[in-house]
Amino acid sequence: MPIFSFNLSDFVFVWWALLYEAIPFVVLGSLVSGVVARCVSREAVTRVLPRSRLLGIAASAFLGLILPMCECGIVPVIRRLVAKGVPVSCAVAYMLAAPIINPIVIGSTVLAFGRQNPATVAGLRVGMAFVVATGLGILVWRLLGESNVLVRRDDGEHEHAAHDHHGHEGGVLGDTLRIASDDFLEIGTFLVLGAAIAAFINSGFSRAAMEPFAQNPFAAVPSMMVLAILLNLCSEADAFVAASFYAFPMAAKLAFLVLGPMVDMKLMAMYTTMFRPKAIVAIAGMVIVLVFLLCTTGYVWMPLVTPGGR
Amino acid sequence: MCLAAFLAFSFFSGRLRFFVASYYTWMAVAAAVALGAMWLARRRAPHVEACCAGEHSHESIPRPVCGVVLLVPVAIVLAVNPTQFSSEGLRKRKPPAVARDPELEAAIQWVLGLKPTAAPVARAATLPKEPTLVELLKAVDESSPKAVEGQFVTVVGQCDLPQGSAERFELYRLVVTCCIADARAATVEVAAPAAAKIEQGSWIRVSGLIRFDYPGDPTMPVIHAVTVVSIPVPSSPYL
Repeated sequence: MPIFSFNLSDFVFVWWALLYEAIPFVVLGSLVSGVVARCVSREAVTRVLPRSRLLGIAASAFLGLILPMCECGIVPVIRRLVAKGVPVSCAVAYMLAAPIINPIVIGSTVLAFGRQNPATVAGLRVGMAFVVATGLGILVWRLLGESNVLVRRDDGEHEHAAHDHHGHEGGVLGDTLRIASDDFLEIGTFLVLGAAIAAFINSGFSRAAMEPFAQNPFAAVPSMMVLAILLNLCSEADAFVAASFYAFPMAAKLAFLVLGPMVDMKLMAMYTTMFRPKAIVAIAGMVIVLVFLLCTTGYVWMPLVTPGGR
Repeated sequence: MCLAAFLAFSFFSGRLRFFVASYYTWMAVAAAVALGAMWLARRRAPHVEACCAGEHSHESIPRPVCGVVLLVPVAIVLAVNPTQFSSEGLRKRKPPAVARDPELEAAIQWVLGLKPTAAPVARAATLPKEPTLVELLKAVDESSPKAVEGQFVTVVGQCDLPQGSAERFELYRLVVTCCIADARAATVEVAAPAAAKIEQGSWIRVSGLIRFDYPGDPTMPVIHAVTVVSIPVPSSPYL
């Protein structure tokens, strides 16, 4: 069987499956964005943020436990949070960690790895996601520069809540829905385009092509990372796919589980609504490098933290 | 509004169940309601948009372009109308085969100072009368081929006829967690009676004895079918 082949029916099938699955979450994210825009003031956001930036980044990485969002729904939310004064470094930490560090995904990971050390896999996934997300938050803060990564717009200045006419003309609900529809139209457009690229690869790529990499410890991790970027799976479902790749070592499966919800084709298209292209390349590149380092060294350290390993 | 209407249509026409797991279908309806409410909110106060038009210069894509991009996939899916994978698309969804090297694994375990993995204990597996393909494969995996060999089972799935032959074919069922983008194919081999008349991709119920005589893979269950019956598409096509 060829590694890749195109079939229009399969492509449309997967394209719409991704859209049917993602649209409700983007709608939800847009509604949360509308609520934040209409009901949350800059002062309130500033009040709840820790004064220490490092602490803020670390806390943001765990925010998904309270405000769980999947990778599709999170983009409109962080756009709005940044517009409300949340530092970009904290937003990046939340954006990268929340699709993994949230109760639903932790539960699905435990369920998927039912007979393969489920608690350890879930714990390692959460721990590695935290390390990568906080690492990226710090890198955006200290290296890239928070003001350099965002697309230049009036977004930050345009506070819907600050406009009196929004409050009086449409009411809270009307304003929230209108703002949500603006966000949905823009992000939904990029979702459709990103999902098309994702479906093209997902529907055409043969999983059996991964077989030669399974037993090579040096090839297993990067090959699963490439697969995570190409398949564009939802973070609630990817653990089930990873668990079915019995032939691959745990380190490679974790590379798939940590990288996929942070960087994939569909997400990169959606990130363009917020970040500059150079910043997307830098963030994605650094995430890939960090995950690669963590997982390739994982052959040594993972057995040490796995119950019964030693 | 068109997108909301299409989502609602997809749900009520039943086509949605071919794309996403059954418990995900209601989310499309919720999204349709929310999108409808957003559209109504825009219709009720269009002047708000007009007075903010100057300030909304952050729109990176003009609204008509957004509309077209969102509606083109609707037109395409209505024209193509896919409800299942092609046979080649299905074969792409089989997970990579386990090709373990016990000596290499033992060497790695020795280097890392790990305890050697215990060999699977062969214990009797009791399968339900009509197991799903996943239950059948799980029983084989958790016990051993010998524990399930000779049991009479009835399983439901779709058939994949590699060379168009209905005498020896694969019976598969897609396992879907969220949507068919994450589908994995669970498959067993079927040795069917010569009289069986089935078509590629059709839904069938197979009853027969489990054997392990697949050439090249002694762990692959083969159902030696006594009966093969065509059935309609189940209400939940995926496991």
